[in-house]
Amino acid sequence: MYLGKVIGRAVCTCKDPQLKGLKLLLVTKIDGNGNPKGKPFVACDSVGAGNGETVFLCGGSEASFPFIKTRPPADATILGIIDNIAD
Amino acid sequence: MEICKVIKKVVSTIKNEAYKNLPLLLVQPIHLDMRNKGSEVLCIDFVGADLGELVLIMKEGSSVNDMLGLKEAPADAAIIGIIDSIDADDKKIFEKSNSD
Repeated sequence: MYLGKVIGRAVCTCKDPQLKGLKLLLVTKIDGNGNPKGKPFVACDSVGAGNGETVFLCGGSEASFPFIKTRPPADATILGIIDNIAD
Repeated sequence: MEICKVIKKVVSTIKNEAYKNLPLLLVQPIHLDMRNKGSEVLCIDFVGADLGELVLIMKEGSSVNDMLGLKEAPADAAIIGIIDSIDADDKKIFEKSNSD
């Protein structure tokens, strides 16, 4: 898993039927101090995260597990909203 | 499996139910000479590691699922051990008591 920050939202009408109803958010990976790194990407949302929130995500085949009934083709999913990060 | 250093404690209330109440720790993979290696990894902590400790992590989804006792949990990294010492080429390169 890794940390990320929600920076926006992607809307997509024409998509794989299994992605229907899923919220797609624009996320950038961050380090432990909150500094962004790498390029932004799109992730499915399983917890109801919003713009500006710090979240944690999972990649790979595990990304489709929260949506077990539909098994959407996803390679990044938001799994939780971070309350705080402490040293 | 990889050798990492625990750098942050992460608290999350709203999260996937598979994570139960297990602690989440942010770890930094390190080289044997203690330099940072690659990007940080968020892990489920199964052993009770603390900040600054060297730990052994496993990055494999199906093994994490086995440890959680679930079939399809969306988790792919876990801390599975706290490192006491590391030997390489007959030389001790890390001993826990000397580190802090």
